[in-house]
Amino acid sequence: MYSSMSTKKKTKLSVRNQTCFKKSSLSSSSTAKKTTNLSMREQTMFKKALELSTLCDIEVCVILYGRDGELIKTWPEDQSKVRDMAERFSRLHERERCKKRTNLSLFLRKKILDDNKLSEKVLEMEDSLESGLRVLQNKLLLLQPEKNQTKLGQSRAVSSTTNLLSSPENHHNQQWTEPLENGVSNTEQELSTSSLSQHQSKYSVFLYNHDNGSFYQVPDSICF
Amino acid sequence: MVKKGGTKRKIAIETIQKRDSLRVTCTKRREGLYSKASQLCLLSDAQIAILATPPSSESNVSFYSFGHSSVDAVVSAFLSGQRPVPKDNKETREDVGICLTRNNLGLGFWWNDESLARSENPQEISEAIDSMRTLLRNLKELRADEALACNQAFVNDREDLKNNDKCDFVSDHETHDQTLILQSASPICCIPENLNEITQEPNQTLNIQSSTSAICCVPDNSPENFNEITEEQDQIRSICETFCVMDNNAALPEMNLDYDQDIGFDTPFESALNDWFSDNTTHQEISASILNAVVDDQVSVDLTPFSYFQRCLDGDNLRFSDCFKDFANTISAL
Repeated sequence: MYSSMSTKKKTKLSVRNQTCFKKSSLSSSSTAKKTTNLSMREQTMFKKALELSTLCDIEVCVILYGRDGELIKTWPEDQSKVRDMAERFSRLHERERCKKRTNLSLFLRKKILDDNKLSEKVLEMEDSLESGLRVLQNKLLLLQPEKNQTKLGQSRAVSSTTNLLSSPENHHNQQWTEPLENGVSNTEQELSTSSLSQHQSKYSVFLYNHDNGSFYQVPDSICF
Repeated sequence: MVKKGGTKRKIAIETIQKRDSLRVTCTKRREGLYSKASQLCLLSDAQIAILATPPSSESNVSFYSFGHSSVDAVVSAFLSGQRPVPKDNKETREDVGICLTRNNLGLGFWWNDESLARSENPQEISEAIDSMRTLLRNLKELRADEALACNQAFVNDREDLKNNDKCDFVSDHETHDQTLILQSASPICCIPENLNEITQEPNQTLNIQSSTSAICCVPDNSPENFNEITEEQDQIRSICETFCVMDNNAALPEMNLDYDQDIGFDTPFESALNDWFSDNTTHQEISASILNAVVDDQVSVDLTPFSYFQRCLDGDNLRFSDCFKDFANTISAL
């Protein structure tokens, strides 16, 4: 038990060391260490699949292809089980397959929307993207006098039109907020004027003076 | 197994017996497995398909699946023994979630790549600019979706505030009803301006006159009495609306004072009413007919004043009981 714990600690430390030295090392050695790291990640994923299938008493299968298209590994390793499950999945109706299906893009998008911490990183990404865009546009303008071509002129025209398009969008956004406020104030004014007009035209009030014994009609504006 | 030196503990890897715990564990661990798979996809450009059956308690649900590039592509490639089609690089570059997660894993953003910075190829740079613009547009759409979710929570809070305001308005409405009942018994009376309804004025004045004097004379036409009651209710509603708008809380004590003064000045009130009617030339015939009716039917007594007092007593005012006693004494004297 203690020996296994110490072994795990060593492996964690070795992983950290590799990740620390990864960037400063040469390309060939970094490639080798990257492969080692990836194989460990594969083992972790397969371990997670095993735990899931054992704890929840369900069937799980994982099919893993490399970037070059070769089948790296499957879990469970017995391909007949994987094939059986894959065939059952294929036999399902298209509508039922789509119910619980998710994609890398959809999964990550949902993760961003659910997690509040990622919103700050989204803002940082946006700033980095805008600055990078500006840098590349400046570089493209610098390259333009070196090679006088019509394509560069066209690309510049396109960029200028997009800049013009972007500013009316901002203006439109500003206009969009103002009508809402005006609408709210207009409804309030309508309510007040309607109530005043209704009550003004209907009644007049007579006051009885006890000293003189005479009636006095009160003007409308005073009452309402 | 309890881990020493901390509060975390690892559960035994065996089947969970409780159904609810099993379902929760299944959901959470499946999400964790998808997360690990997504990291591996991004780091190694691998294509993965994960298939999982639902728990036995959910027999109607179909397979849970996760895939990159897509589940169908990887599964069909596996079954046919062929290689899966590689995913288009452009779609990957223009996806917000993928770029953000790559940055979190330490791979950095693709537009900060050194090869792109050193490149002198205008075509490559223009393509990169287009991809960056598309990515920026997608990013703004994503932030708009996130803002909508926040706005929904804000709207719910505002609706709660509106409900509270409605409750306050209703309570104010009830208090105004009480003040209106007092006002209906006071000498201040609301007379409509419309000329068509002037013929109904003497009936209203008779009600006021009967409450202050022993002589009571009411015509026997019941429809007119019914109309009077409905008119009073309509007046009460309209006055209630005006009070709701004005929101005047000082009206209550003034009503009591006015009513006390009214008892002390019976005679000038009657003379003033007669003078007022005589001034209006258009109503001479009506007043003459009323005087004749008073002389002829001096003995008759009608129940209308009792109902009038009954409605006054509903206002829980002590002065009404005093007036009622005086009225009873006068009737017994007759």
